[in-house]
Parts: sequence; C-alpha cells; structure tokens
Amino acid sequence: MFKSLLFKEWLKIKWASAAIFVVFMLMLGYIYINTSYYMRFIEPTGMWYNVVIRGTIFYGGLYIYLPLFAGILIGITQFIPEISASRLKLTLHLPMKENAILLSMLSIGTFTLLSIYLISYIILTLISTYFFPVEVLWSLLITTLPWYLAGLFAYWAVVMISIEIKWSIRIALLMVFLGFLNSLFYLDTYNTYANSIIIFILISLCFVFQTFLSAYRFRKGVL
Amino acid sequence: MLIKFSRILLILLVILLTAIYLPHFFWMSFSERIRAPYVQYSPVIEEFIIMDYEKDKFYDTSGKEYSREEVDTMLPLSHYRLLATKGLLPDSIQGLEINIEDIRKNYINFRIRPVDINKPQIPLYQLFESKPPRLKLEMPDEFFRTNDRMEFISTENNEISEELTSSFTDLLVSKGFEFPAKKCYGNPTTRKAYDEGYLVIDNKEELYHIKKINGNPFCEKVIIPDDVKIKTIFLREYSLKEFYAFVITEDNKLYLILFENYKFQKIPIQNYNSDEDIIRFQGNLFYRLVTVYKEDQLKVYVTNRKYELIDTYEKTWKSKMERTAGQISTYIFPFELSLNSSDSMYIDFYFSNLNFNSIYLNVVLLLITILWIRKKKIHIIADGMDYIIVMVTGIFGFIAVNIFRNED
Repeated sequence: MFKSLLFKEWLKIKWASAAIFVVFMLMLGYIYINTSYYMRFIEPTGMWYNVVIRGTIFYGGLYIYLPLFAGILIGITQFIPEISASRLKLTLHLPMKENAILLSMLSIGTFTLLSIYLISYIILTLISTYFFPVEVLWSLLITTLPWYLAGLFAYWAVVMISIEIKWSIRIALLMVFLGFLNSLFYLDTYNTYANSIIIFILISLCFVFQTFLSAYRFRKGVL
Repeated sequence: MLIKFSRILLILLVILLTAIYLPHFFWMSFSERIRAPYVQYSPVIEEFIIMDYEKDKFYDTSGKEYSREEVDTMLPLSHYRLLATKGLLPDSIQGLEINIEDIRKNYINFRIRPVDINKPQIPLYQLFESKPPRLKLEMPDEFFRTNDRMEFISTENNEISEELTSSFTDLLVSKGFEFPAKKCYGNPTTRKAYDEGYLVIDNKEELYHIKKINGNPFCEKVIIPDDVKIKTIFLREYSLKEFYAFVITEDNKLYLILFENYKFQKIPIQNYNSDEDIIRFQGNLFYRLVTVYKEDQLKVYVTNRKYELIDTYEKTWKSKMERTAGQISTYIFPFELSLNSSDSMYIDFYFSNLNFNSIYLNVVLLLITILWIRKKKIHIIADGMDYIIVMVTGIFGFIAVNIFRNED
C-alpha cells in the first residue's frame, strides 16, 4: 500500500521534477561559465578580490530563487490534482492511517526536492573549489542554506494552503508563509545567516506539523 | 494532541512574524530622520563650533550665532579648499605658518561603526608589496590564510605558493609567532598612499606586524600593554605616518598604535560602547577630535597633538523612543523584533523595546478575545492558553489566536 502510494505521488511530480532538475543544471552551467568569464576578464585576482573582500556572491542572481521556485512547483503539481474534485478525500480513505498517508505524500515531495538540492549543492561545491580556496566554499555553504530552506518551506506551505478548506485561513496562511519566506532573503553579503540559520531551520521543521492541522480541518470539513 | 501542538506552533510563528513586521511597518510610516549636529573645534577662536543642519544654525558653546561664511573662516583646516579658492585662507594660524600641502597631509577623518566590527569575513587576506617597483600599489596575485603556517594561495591556479609560504612561515616562527593566527587586520585596497601590511594576533594572543618588502617577509613583534585586551583593530595608512592603526579594546577603550616604537597611545574618551556607538576620529594640524555618537547624544573630545584632553562638548536630543511616535509605539507593541540591526551585518532575531505600557491594550484585546470565544460557545477554560498568549504578547498574540482559532 505504502509503495503504491509513493508510486502514485511520483507519477504526479515526475515531469515537474525532471524539468526542475534540468533548469538547475542549466543554471549551474551558467554560474560556471559566468565565473570563468570573469576570471578571464577581470583576472583571477580581481575576481577573488570581489568575492573575498567585497562580498560579491558569484552564485547569486537568479539561482537564489531557484530552490524556492522548485518547492512551489512540486507542491502545486502534487497537491492541486488532489484538491480539484476533492480527490484527497479518496486518498485519505485508503486503508492506512490518515496522518501516515499525508506523511508519505509529503515525504516523496520532500525527498525529491532534497535530492535535487543536494546534487546542485555538490555541483556548486565543485565549481567553487575549482576556482576558489576552501574558505569561499564554507561561506557558500552557509550563504545558500537559507535559499534551499526557503524551497523546502515553500513546498510544505503550498501543501498546507492546498489542503486547507477555509478560504479565510488560506489567505492568512499565505500571508504568514510569505512573511517567513521574505525573512530568508536578506542578501547584503555572504554568511549573514551564520548566527541564526539554526533557528530558521528549527522554525521551518516545526511547520511540517502544520500540515496535520490543515489535514484535520480538511477531514472535518469534507469527510 | 498533535492538532493542539501544531496550532500552538503556528501561533508562535505568527507572533514571531507580526512582532517583526508590524513594528517595521509602523516605523516605516512614522519614524523621522534624526540629524545629529556636526561639531568641530576652531583653531581660530579655540572654541567648539556647532553646526545644526536641522535648524540651519551655526553657533559656539556660549550660544553666539555665526553665518555659514563666518564658520568657514573659523574652521580653515576643514574648509581650506573653499577658502583658498576665495583667497581667504590665512597665512598662519596660532602663529604657525600654514600651506595647503601641510593641511592636506595632516587631515584625518575616520569613522568606526558597530557594523564595521560585527560583520562576516572570509578568512583570506591579500598582502601587498610595500615597496612596489613602479611606486603604485598593485594587487598581489596571492591571498594568504593561516593554519599551521602562513599559506599563500596563487589566484592563477588556486594552488599553494610554497616559496612565499615557507619564507614567511620561517621568519614568523623565528620571531616567536605561534600558528594559527587568531585574527588578521589589514587594509586591502590599492587606494591608499602606501602599505603597512597586517597586524596579526597569534595563537598566544600576541601581536605581530607583518609586511612584504621587496618580496621578502618582514615581521616585528608588537608589545601589547598589560591592561589592553584587543577587541578589534583598524589598520589605516595615512600620509601623516603618525600611527598604524586604531585599536578598540574589550573594555571599550580606544588606542592608536604609533609609528614610534609601536607605542599604544590611549585616546581620552569615556562611556563608549563599541557594540552600539559610532566613533568619528578627526585630525588636523592642531588637534585631534573624537566624537562618540550614541542614539540620543554626542560627546566630542578635543585633544592636542600629544593626545592631552583640551575640552569636551556634549549635546543630547530626544531618541527615537522618546519622541511621539516612539511613545505611541510602546502603547501598541509590548516588544519589537527585528531581523537586521544597524549595529551588525548579521541576520538574527534582535529583541528590543520591551515595555509595560502596552498592558492597557493587552487587557482590551484579551476582553475582545474572551467575548469572541464566548460567542462561539467554546469552552472558556480550554482556551486558557490563548488568554495567556494575548495577555503576554498583546497585539501579536491577539492576531495569532484569533486568525487560527481553537477548533475543538
């Protein structure tokens, strides 16, 4: 039962996942080409100076919002079909515990996102290590963490908003999530989240629980 | 149980976010710009000149007002360019003959903000050639790090340059330097008159001055006085060549490290807090002027060139929280949270302005909450948690518990 549920969920998100994966790879390719272009044109010393002393984020630009975009897309492709025509109602009638069903559904999306994020993280690591010393890599790992976190959080947020049945609460949740997501994108320079990223991660994790609250309301309202 | 727990977590998130965004929107709408007056010390009348640009008034400590043109002539060392153009630059001040070259050479203006201290840094440094063959400072092709040696990494191939590494490491070790370094303070820019390398604190908390001269290492141990615990150093190369760096200590004292035998020269300022206050250090032919800016006050210390205190001037004004908008805010918000701070580059949860004025609003909001809940005929006792939240967190909790109501 568990396996077939996972398979059903994977069918819904496989094309979106593949598309996201391709976009990530193209973007990483762009970061590589762009960095190597600047290494040639302002010379390695100039580029290192920009990155180390002036705090230029060479992996910034559109890449900052890519994990967020991925999270939202996976959330929408997985849960909008459930909501249209209240298919989730049927899903929750499967002979499994409701919360377990919901958790399995969430885990497949989360796992897919984490895999894409991890692969991109590793490639970014390779790009950084190719051009820059390891110190730059440490700062990259901390600097990009809030962006990936925003992606995961956005996924859970989309799920929650989708399965929420009350429109007033949906809008309230949307405001709350936008507020939290906004707090993950303060980008003055590198490493700015070094002291607080753990708190942001803990807050995000707490919000997996919120899906149960929305699911509870869904059951009460629909079943 | 799980549902209740989830709801509490959601409410806490809403409180966290409203405590960040509501005060933020409030201040964006109502805060006013506070312009601190600019205070200088006139070598002509030997008196402070206060320039209040908010009221467009210029006056001295006795209250005597001056026109802007009069101020220009009383501060010839600050406005020498303007005066020289108009042909009004005096030939001598206090019996000392002056010329533009001397004025320019002696002019120092440096500001230290808390955000300059509390900011992230990638621990890689550029060591410039101090005696560049073509005179102009040039970007070196290596960055260095310190681990168990002073490692130079070539930017060309991202590999360690063994030759430089071993020559510097060997000299440092022979001078008693213990790796790894705890902090390296330098001024990596080509836009300066000359280069003085780095002041480096080693693993034993000892201070060393490290430079590259004609491609060779230079290292000198700097004796730190016993009562000095260094918090941070700002190394700056001024044409005057009187001091290498500004030092801020753990107990918020300000020192200069002089060219003369690396002597630590104490600057006579008091009541300075490097985590909150801004310091402006100014120097000219006659004086050193140090201004400590606080949120609601500035204090100016003027010394002679031997750093002996001559006079001080203090001015206070109403801080943000003492003004009308600030007072109103205390009746609305029991506290405020902010993700960024003007005192730090780091994103964090900065808690501020905890107050009890908001208790009146909290009580009103609590009554409204009770009435609403009663209307819905939900158990009043079961909602005890909500009441506590509203009472303690006021408007933030009120929004949270009433949007996400108890479903039982």
